[in-house]
Amino acid sequence: MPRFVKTPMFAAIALALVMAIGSAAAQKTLRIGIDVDPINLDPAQMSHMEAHRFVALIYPTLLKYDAQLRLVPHLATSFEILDDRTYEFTLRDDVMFHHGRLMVADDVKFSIERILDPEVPSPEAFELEPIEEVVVVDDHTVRIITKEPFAPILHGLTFGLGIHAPESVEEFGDLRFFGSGTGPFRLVEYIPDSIVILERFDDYFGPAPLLDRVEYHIIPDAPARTTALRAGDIDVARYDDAKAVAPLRRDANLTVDYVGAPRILHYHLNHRRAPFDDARVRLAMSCAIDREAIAQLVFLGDALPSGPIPPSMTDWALPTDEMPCYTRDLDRARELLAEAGYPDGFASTMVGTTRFPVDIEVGQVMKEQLAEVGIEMEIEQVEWGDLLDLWITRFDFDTLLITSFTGRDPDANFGRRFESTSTRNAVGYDNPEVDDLIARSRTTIDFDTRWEIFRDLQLIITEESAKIFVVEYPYYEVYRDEVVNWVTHPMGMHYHLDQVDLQR
Amino acid sequence: MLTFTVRRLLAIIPLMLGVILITMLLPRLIPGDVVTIMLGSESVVSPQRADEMRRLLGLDRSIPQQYWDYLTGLVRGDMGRSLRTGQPVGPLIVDRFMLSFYISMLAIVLGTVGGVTLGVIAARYRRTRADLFFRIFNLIGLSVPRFWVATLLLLAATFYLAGTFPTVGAARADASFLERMRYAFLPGLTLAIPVAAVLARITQTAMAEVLAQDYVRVAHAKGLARRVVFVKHALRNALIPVVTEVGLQTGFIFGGIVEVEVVFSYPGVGQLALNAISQRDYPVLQGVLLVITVLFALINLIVDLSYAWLDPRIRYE
Amino acid sequence: MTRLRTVARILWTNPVLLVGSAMLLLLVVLVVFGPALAPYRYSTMHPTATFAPPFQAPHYLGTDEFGRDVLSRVVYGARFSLLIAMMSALLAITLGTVFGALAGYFGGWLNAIIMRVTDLLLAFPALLLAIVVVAIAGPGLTNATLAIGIVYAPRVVRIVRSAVLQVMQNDYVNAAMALGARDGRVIWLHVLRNTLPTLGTYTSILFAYGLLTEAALSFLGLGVQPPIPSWGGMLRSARSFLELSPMLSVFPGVAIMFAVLTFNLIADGLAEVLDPRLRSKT
Repeated sequence: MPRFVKTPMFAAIALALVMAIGSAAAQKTLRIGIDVDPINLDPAQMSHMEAHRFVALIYPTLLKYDAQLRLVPHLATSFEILDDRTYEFTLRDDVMFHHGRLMVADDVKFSIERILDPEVPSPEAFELEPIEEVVVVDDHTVRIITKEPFAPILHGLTFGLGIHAPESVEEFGDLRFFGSGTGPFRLVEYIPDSIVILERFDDYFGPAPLLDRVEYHIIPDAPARTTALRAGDIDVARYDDAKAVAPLRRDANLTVDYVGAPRILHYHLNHRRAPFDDARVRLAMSCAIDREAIAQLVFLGDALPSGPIPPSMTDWALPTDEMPCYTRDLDRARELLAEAGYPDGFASTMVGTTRFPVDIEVGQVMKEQLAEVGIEMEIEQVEWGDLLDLWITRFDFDTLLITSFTGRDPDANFGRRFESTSTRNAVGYDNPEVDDLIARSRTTIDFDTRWEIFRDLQLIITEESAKIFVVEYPYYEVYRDEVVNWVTHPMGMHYHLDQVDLQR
Repeated sequence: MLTFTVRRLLAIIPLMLGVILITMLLPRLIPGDVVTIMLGSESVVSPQRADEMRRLLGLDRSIPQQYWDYLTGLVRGDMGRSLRTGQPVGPLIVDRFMLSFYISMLAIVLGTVGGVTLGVIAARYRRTRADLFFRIFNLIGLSVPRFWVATLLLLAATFYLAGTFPTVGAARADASFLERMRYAFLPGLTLAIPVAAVLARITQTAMAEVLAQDYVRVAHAKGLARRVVFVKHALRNALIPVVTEVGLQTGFIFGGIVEVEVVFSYPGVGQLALNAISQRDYPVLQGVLLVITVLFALINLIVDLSYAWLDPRIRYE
Repeated sequence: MTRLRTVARILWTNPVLLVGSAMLLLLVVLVVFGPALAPYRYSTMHPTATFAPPFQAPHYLGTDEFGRDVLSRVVYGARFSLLIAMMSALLAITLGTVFGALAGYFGGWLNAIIMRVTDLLLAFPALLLAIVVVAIAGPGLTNATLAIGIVYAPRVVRIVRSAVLQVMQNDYVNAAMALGARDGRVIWLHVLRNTLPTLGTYTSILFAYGLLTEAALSFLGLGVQPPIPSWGGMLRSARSFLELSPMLSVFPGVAIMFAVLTFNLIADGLAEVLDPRLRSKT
């Protein structure tokens, strides 16, 4: 059955699995259809959102985001900020690893150090790199000290750090396919491009899970997921396309749930190239775009216009009506273009990726909208790897459309994207004032002061139209009526899976 | 015959060396690499760290070095490991190939049965007005895009046959044979259509030719029943070109399998190849292309040999 | 006049060719007069009329997710799909004829090299090779055309080479060579002209292949870029709305089938008229 029988232990689990399938009838198995393969389940190797979702479920973090995207305790019962650089976490004392050992502070230290180990090497390392030292105070107290005051570290510790057992690493080398965590379900098997199988963990520290088994079926194609859901081959399916979900709303056996996800469509304008080096041109384009119409046409009204921080991050986002050009104004757009020396508009190209067809849909609407002020865009769809190459490695594009999950801390929305020295500043934005604000936002621990900094940043970035922020994407989970207690989390996390039940 | 077989088998080797070289070079010409994709859109990684990841994956070696390593690996039966998932490529391809094999087997079986039947019927109407309909019907079979037929079947299965045939994925590794066929049915049926069209055409022509032969006329003259002559004398001999074509079609099916696997989210080699392209997973893409070409070459050889075996007049020196 | 009569007679006695030619005429009309025939521009969005059902005025084939008129998109689609098919067929024929003629006429090491490369390229499934080529060069109209042309060129090489070899066995070619005619002259005057019937038929087949491959590439998102309508691309986006509006997945498919069938019919008919040997190979 499993493709990689690495150890006798693995074989024993496989045997147990075979036996479990034999008696599957009496079991409660929840089958979830997902669109993206996690590729690697190692907490040190998460390279995209889907991997984060699995890691958060199998290898819980110290803190987690609740459905309102607030940080709440998880493995840690509380934390205290001792000084600007020191965070002291108090851990639960009843957390059991899947292989049957209590979790202690040393495991936290191990997990952080493994992710930071250059020999691993982890794409997540950047989240934790500001950490200078991890000090184990006692079995259930751990201090994390940053090199300098660094406010976003709490996000890094929540999003980038799944606590995993050193024994697993010793045994398997890496945790790509298998490993021991502390979540409500333990990993049984992962077959790439096909399925991830989890089984109830009886010694879970939280309330006992109601399901026996959870299967994640990897079905990249949305129509195929729909078919499977209708036929009852899966119980829950994920979508990011409003139109794929629309017909499901009429199905009496299904419930369509959606939330605004902290995932926005960024329309990149390459400042290295004319005419996008001119803020007036960029602002004109922002004015020419009708975000409401896009939300209606592409998302059937389920999406919200978004500024640099998505509205779902309620603590930080400014209302979009405070930002310039968020109400469509064609006259202003023409005026600005004329001032910049393009009274008749210009022609350019717009790159998007086949991986996110919804982005291309938005692109097609924007193309029509921009054409009204004489800006003729030619759409170029490239495959995901090409897009990454153009966008991240070579900065080789005129304009580029991409949705990305911004995570929770607003630093992800600004620091990485607009700081002049960031390797991820794809548009080539360079503004000393913004650099300064970003630097201050990181060293400022106090929430209210940070909030003010981010308010200023949001206003500057939209006034300069450093990038055009279009809408916040809705995130859908559709489930069959047998599924009870389902919660759709804005980041697609399945923290709540321990509470979900099936009533057939 | 034996020397011919050996010579043909040996001739595959230089072809394979070329194929390996091409499969080595082509994927590496695609912009971006596996590390860029692994790092994805959200992580912030210094170029040094990215290069370190490349080194660990062995991507920093020169192309001739990689070519040599791959060849020596092949001799040991090692096709390398997937850069993306770390799985050994050999077993991975075997698994996926089996899934695609079910589809192509069904396509061949359904296509042959359907095609030969149609062809035999059509042979009786050759040079009549009805023949035109057979011809156009055949050409339609060759003209429909596979992914479209697949989509229509998917639609039909969703709305009218809900639950009869699964429309998503493949059967689990521990499923029964019947279950596997159930999953492979709709994709197989899609691919069977052009096969049936080609075979019907060939069967018709071959049957017509054979029916005009003297020995068939003699058989008729001897007073044998029409059905006996048709089946025993004519059909058997007419099957020679059909067998050849079945072989060729088996090769072609693998070309069309990509579209169909995409529509039915069927995790066979086609999907594996597409994923390998999009993830820049060189060893997997190399492996798939290599296996497909070897298979294609072998099928051609078998076709040639069976041709000789079926028709005693053909002798290979 | 007599020529016209011959053509008419051939068409009359060959119903397949007749039907194919009539369909081709319709396609040509669509391509040439498309903009005049289409009720709307292919990219015009009608935000208030998305997913309109077909067979009703003013959108006779309905509208898509942006309220774009499907009839107009299908009509315009003929231009782009046929353009790619034509250019790629032309490319394949040119490449294939040049290399095939060189290999067949000169033989020796040139033949060996050309044929080995041809074998190598033929060892890959066409669509997979096209996908890889597009992945390297990037998607889009031009690159899709190039990819399709390159992928099908080896087949032409083989056909042209064997046709050349066959023609060269004729005495008149030997005579011309013995008389000291230059290679280029012999190739053109005596050899290539005699392969034209075969090539003519195969061009039509290449059109069919080209249309199908382009549709498949666009279906996978690698062909013509939106909002330019290509039939394969329309099917790609229609798939997301299979339930909401199944008819969106029907019309572009019918259009592809119609166009491919046209060229298959013509190839079949031509084969019968010009070169009976090719008949079973379609």
